Amino acid sequence: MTKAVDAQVLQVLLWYDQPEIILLKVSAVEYILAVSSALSVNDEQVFVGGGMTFSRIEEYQEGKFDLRYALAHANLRRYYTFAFDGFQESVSLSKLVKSSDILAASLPETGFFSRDHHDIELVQHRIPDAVEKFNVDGGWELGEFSKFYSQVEDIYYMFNDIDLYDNPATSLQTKATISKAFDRSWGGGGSYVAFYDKIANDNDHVAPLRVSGIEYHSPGYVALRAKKKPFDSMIALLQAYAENGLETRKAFNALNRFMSFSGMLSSDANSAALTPVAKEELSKLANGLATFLPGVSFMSLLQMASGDLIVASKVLKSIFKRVERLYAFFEQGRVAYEGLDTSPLVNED
Amino acid sequence: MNAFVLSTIGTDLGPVDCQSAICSAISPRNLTWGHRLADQDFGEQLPDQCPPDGIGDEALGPVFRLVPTSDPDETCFSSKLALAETPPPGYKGTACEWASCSLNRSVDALLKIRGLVMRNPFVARLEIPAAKGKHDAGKAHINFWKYKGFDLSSAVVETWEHGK
Repeated sequence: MTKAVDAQVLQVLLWYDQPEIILLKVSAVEYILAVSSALSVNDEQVFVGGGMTFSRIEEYQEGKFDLRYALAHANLRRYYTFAFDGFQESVSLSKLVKSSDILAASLPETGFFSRDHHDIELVQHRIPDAVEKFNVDGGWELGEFSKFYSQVEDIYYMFNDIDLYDNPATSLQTKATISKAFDRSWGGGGSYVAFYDKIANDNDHVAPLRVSGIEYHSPGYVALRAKKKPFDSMIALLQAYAENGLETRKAFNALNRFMSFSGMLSSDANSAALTPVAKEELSKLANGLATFLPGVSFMSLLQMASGDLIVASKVLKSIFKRVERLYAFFEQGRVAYEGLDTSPLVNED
Repeated sequence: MNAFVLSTIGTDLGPVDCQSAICSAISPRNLTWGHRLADQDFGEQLPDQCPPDGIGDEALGPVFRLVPTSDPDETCFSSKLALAETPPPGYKGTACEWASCSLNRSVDALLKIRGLVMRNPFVARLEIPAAKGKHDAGKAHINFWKYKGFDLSSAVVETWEHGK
């Protein structure tokens, strides 16, 4: 045991004459799943736990793996022990090494899933089917509503794809499905439309986006039912664009010029044929654009595209174009979202 | 333990006899007490609107509970409230659930939690006759609110040490 830190008791997931399984929060990004110790019969107030990310807890709640697996594969191999008498709001943690006797003795046996205890409220609250409302004003053609929704949909599903692909608990099969969408002839606009249609279809069962209300008159609104995490990522991306639009466009233009002059935008452009210098330059420019698009890791896109540098760069460019088009509605004053601060003056060239 | 009269609550139907250990639990943090507290139909003091409407008192069994002894007595089936336990921080169940006895259709899942098993090395199988208490049967986990005069330990058909 080494350094001690505190953790807040969030939820007793299983009580059987005493707390048996507990969820704790260490920080905004680290949680702990813990079970009662089984090292000694006198250890009824001693617990053993493993570090968890929120995504990990979400996967556990969804039954993607059992409690033994969750604890055995703790985030960053962080293991803890602590005393909890059932009345404290927080506990003092001591770190454990994975080879500790107490951990080996207390790991649950295979086959205990989240269905065997209370639902994890943290997950229920953090990932609700949220209704998000865009206030609309000004003059609108019917087709413009469709265009607006289409941009939201493309970015939203792309974020969910990235979240899924980056999650270590996502199955290889799901990752293969995600990568398959990238495997196409990337020529004109039609290929991009087909690409975004494909990822929308792939994500529809895990993170459906639906119009839940709309009022056309001005001022009116467009209400969407969405999964909160990718939706919040999209808003954060728009906010970043609101603050760094000029720099973002410069980074996009640099990438676009290079790809255009190098013949990389044609459908038969082949990453394998790129010279090392061209690869390095393309990678540098793509990463440069990605730094202005929070939540969009070029490395992730590259993995999703099975390592195809040109395809990943094309998709990155397409994300930027959708952000630019979507943001235009806000900049024009025709759309507003509470909490999103947009100012046309910031982005003046 | 000496029994004494609790006179500070449950005045609808007069004072309630209880043991000191039980009475020490009456620090109703997180609990809402109401007129059902003195409902003489039930064997334990229950929060308001507990048990929920629409549940029955049909015969129930087989159902199981992990217990610390091969010869479980009534306290092994007492509610957490009756055992003078206070809901801990992070307990998300209801006050009504806290005042129930937990039974299971199967203890297979519970047997995978080693600390729990170490403290409760025996499995009790119960067959509960009809009209002995209300229960939300139909789920894997069952909340049971016994009627007055019924001792759940009397419904134990057999016990065995799990894994043997």
